[in-house]
Amino acid sequence: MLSQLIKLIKVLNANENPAQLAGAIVVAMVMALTPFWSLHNLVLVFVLCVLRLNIFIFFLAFALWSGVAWVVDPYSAAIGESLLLSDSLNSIWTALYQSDFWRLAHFNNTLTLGSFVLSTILLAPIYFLSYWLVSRYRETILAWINRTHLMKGLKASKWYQRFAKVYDVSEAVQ
Amino acid sequence: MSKDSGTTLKKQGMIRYSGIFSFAVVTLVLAACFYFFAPWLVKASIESAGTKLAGAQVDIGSVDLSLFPGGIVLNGVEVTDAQNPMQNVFEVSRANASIDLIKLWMGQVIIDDLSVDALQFGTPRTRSGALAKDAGSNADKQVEQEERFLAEELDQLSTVLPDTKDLLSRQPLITEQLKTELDETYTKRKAEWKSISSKLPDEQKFEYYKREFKALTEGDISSLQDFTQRKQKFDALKAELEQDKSIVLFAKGQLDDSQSVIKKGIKDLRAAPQKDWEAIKSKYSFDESGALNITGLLFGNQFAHYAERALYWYRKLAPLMQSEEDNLKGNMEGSVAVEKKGLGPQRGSGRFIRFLEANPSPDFLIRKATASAVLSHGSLEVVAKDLTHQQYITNKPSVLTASGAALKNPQTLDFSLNIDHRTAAPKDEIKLSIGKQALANTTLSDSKNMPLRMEQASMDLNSTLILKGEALEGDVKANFTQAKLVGEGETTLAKEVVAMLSEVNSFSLSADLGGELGSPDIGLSSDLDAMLKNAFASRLKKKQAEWEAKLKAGLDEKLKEYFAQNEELAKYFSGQESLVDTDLSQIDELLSKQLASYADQHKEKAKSKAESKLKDALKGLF
Repeated sequence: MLSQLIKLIKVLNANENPAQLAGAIVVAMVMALTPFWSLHNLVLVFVLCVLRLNIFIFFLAFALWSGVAWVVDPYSAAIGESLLLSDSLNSIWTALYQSDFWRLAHFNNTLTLGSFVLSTILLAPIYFLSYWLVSRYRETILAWINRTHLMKGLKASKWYQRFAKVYDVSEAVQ
Repeated sequence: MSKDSGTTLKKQGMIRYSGIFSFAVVTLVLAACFYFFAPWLVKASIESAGTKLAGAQVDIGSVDLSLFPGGIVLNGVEVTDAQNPMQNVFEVSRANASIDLIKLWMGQVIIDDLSVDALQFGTPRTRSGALAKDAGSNADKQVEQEERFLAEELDQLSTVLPDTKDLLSRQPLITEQLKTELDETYTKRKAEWKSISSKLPDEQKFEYYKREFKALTEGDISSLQDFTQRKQKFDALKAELEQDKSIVLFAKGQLDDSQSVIKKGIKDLRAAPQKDWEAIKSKYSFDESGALNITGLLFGNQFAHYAERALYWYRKLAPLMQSEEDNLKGNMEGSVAVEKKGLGPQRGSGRFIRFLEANPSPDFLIRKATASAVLSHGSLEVVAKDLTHQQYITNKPSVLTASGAALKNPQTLDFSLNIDHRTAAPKDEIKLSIGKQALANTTLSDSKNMPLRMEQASMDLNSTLILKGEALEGDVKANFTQAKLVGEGETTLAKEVVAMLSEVNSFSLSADLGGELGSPDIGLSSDLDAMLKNAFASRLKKKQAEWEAKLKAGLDEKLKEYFAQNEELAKYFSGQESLVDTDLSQIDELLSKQLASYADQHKEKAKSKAESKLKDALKGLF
């Protein structure tokens, strides 16, 4: 647990682009909110592998978003239901239903469509919010912590030196 | 810091080309996981769903999956009989199904070909397949049910020719009812008559009338005034007498009415024992209208048991079959064909909405299934086609046929099940034909007072059962030859029945089915009844004649006793009638009296005076 926490701190404090962290968070969000065994998730796994996104943050965010999914699932299903049963959209769905790809993607499933639409709507706001939060953290909180006498004293202590050596946090907290 | 970040990003870039390799590895790992864990998941899913459906444990030995071509193999499938947890309803050593994997991913199970090897029925289990909460309950229910049926049968036997005295005391008799009614009518009419008769003129009144009439009609009328006075009194007296006459006439009418009512009551009462006799005879005799239903007694329990089993399985399977009506209920307006999957969306599953498509497929379909069933006396070839719960999509009925030729026992067997739920009026039809089924040691009755078994017989059976919605119709016809029935009778009657049945070596049995599925009407008939009736005819005729004589005597005795105790009943009103008639004749006689007029009396006097004068004058001449 402690090592996980330190790893998180290291990631947040590292020189990694906040976009990499924010990207991992939104990919995790889409994968967690939508049913796991869906075709679009295969695409997201590809995105996760090919883009330089932080894998640790992805797994951490995926676990958190999965918890959110338990609460959100009924609402996602309701969104999907209202969309799929909408008279005005019926002709579109019927046309898409003729495509095997659309059906293989399970977009005629209430939860898959609803959660996909919901996560797509949330994608941009969550991305920019995550980006901003990571940036603000590094610029304000981390900078302030590093400036404090307590931290300076702590860093100078033998105990910290030993701790940093064991957990390799010298770069994480600088 | 942002400068450092930018440097890092510039160094590394957003694309991680090695990620393509990582993706390939991840995909392979996922595929491998799916491949290795899917059989276990499929096994668990089928066992869980099957157990829920069967109400008892469903076990699968192992599951093999193949991707190219898509297929699934189930090894060692055992479905427990919920009512007998130590036995399987059926057991399959291997079931191989070719599945359309693309459709499967789309949420549809389309099996083009299913072949089942070594299908066996009623195989024993090594461990109980009962579910924890239901263990034993069904078996107990069955035993309870059988005991109830036997008790009813015994009751039925006990109603044959009961003791006459006992019967007359507990049987609701018309004679008794009419006696009570007659008593009540007589009491009421008698009270009414007493009230009326108290108003009738008595002897004193008649004496008064006579005295008054005599005073008015006899003696000389001295003057016209005297005549007028007499006339007034005479008219008043006559009016009074007329009033009394009307009372007497009314009383006479009432008396006549009461008399006829009582006479009719007595007549009905005298005829009542015959009616009672006929009612009792039809209920407790062996004649056409009240024959002892030996067919129902011997086979009713078995039929009820089969009907109960059939109903149990139908109730389990019926919810799986969806008719057009059910589909329409789930449809939304417009062109959307909505298919509800399950009872509602669960967490992480949602539900699939279906839309119109050029070539629709149902959610579940077995286009063709073949099975080789291993029976104890041969093998049976089973073929099923178009098995689906959404026939309105395939527009084909589901058909299952099973046939076995050159079997050892029975020699032939043909079974067909046609499930047609394409329209809003579903129709299921079952046909069964069994040829030369050898029966041995079949228990027909295990009641304590008449255990009976069929030691041997050869049976040919033809049956058709049609179910339209909840309405049931059909028939079962069975012929038994080379039969040997053996048993024991505790009572005299049971002994007689067993003796007669032991001489029967062939008989037929038919059952007409009707009514509703939940409460089927089973009309059993057999020539056993007629055979038994003929065999018993002479013996029973004699016995019944004795019983009838006793019963008739009992009924007559009851009536005789009643009339002896109520002698007054028949005579009372006729006795009263003579009194009324006497009153009436007296009144008529009094009313016939006339008052002579004053002028007439004077005329009469003058006439007699003139006559006497004339006589005197003539005397002088001659």
